[in-house]
Amino acid sequence: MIVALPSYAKIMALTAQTIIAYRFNIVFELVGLFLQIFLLKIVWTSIYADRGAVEGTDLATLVTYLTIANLQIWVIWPETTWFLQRKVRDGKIAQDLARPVGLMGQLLAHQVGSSLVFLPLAIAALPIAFFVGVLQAPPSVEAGVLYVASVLLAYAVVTWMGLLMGMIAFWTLETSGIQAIYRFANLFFAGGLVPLWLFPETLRTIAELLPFQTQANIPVSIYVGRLTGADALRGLGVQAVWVVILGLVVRVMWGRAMRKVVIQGG
Amino acid sequence: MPEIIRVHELRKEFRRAKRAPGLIGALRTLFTRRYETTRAVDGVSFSLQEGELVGYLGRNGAGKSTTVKLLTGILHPTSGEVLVGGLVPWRERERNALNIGVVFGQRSQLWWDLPLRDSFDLISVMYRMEKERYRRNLERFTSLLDMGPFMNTPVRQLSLGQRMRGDLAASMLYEPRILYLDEPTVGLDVVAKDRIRTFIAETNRTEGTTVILTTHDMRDIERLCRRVILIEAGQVLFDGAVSALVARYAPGRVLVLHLADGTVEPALSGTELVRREGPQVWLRFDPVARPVAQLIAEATARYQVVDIAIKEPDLEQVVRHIFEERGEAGRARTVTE
Repeated sequence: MIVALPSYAKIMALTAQTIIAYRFNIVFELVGLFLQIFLLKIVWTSIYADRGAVEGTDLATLVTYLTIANLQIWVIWPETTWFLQRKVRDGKIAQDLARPVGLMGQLLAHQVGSSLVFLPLAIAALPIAFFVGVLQAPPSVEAGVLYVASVLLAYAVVTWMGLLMGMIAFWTLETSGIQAIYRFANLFFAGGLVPLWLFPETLRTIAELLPFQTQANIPVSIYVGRLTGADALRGLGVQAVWVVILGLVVRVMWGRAMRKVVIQGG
Repeated sequence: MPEIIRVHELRKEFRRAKRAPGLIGALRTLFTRRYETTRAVDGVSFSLQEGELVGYLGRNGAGKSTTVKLLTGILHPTSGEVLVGGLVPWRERERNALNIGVVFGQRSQLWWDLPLRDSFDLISVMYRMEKERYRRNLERFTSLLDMGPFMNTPVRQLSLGQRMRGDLAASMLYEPRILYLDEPTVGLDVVAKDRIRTFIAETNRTEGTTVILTTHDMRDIERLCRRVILIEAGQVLFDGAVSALVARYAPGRVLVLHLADGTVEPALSGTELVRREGPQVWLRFDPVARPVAQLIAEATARYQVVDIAIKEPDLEQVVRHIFEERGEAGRARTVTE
């Protein structure tokens, strides 16, 4: 593990370089992202009309929630899904398996390397987010600190989910259907379109039982001050439970995938 | 020379869902799945000494690539034993990886969007090379394979020949003891092929690298290998010197006649028609039983001959002959329905 650290660092650097090689693509992604935030703001402003607060939250706080949720979903995207699927499908996985560094480590390095490009970009784009959406500071220092902790847990959840979806390729060779479902479920159940507290009762219960809400709803609710004190800590606890559960599933699936490995075109 | 690779009674079966053809067939497989098991490698045994350069031959689907993947530890066998440099590859895949270099001719290991040099940098880190050794080797390979002009070019912009040189260098940068080359010359032009062959021969000679080479180009084998292992339907059909293979499956010599009249069936006693291409015919004969001078005299007396030549049968013909004779039986066989 330790001897492989320089390899992971190098893979992260090369992954970042690859993404930067397609910088125009990132510009388009950001344009799409801000358009989405802007449209959400228009729709929600119209829904709110002149009401001061709905379910205890005013318009500015709600749009802040949506702005941060969408930025965050964009930054911590499960990069490994598509990456792993492409490798399995065109058989390049063979080369990666014949390395003195484990494949799982290579994949995690790829995930982190991508995020290291997207995170500073998102931070640099915050002024735009301020004008396009609404951006308020967290109500307290405590909320800010807990938010950072919660984002890290969200990152772990997304990483595991990305690997799980990617591993499906070992059986099906194709994951675009799963990715489409993920994209939607992630946006909707994570709170990217409508905050979870505005969901009807049943739907909200379902959303809270799914892992998606741990990716945006919990950290962003902490950020805007809807989850505080013991509730915030309970939120972190729920995230931690998902990190452990998904981590175990990854472990089991990974073992099976490695046994299953049948390289295409063999 | 010590033994470096030992393969004993190696078997690998694949279980695949059987797919019916067409749209209706595709829909049907959604509901009823039938599996079939194919035995890609079926009891292969051989042993290699350190420093050998061996050609591993077989048709598409004969089990060549599967054997290579078992040797690299990527695949787990159904049964059998393999020792590579004292290690069981699939049990200690990552340790084994430090000893081996692999080139899959059809699949590049280079980072597609980045300059060639970046891929080499990563490899030097993965294989824990000291800076000085990396610099020295990279310099050597750059000049041997003439990679200077495109070292800083993104891989996706390289020609196939350039990319293959890059792939070869990437597999050998860290001086592995064993090199698996799976069709390293596929799709290359004559000049590029020759450059790659020279490089492989050179490395084997100067570094003592053990090389297993699978290819469909018999000139690769003739140029590089003294020993060949021929596999058919996952089994070793022949293991020995190239000259012995030729002698065993195609003894004697070949008389090549270019006839003025392409429709004539030449019938010369003591010869056997091995190939025909329009007005050209290849006739095999045993020079002891049928002296060359006498045969030529007889041929020119009986037929109108435009051109004439005597040849040692080449590997290409031999291998084609073997495969044609065995027909479809040569492919990996389905064990159960």
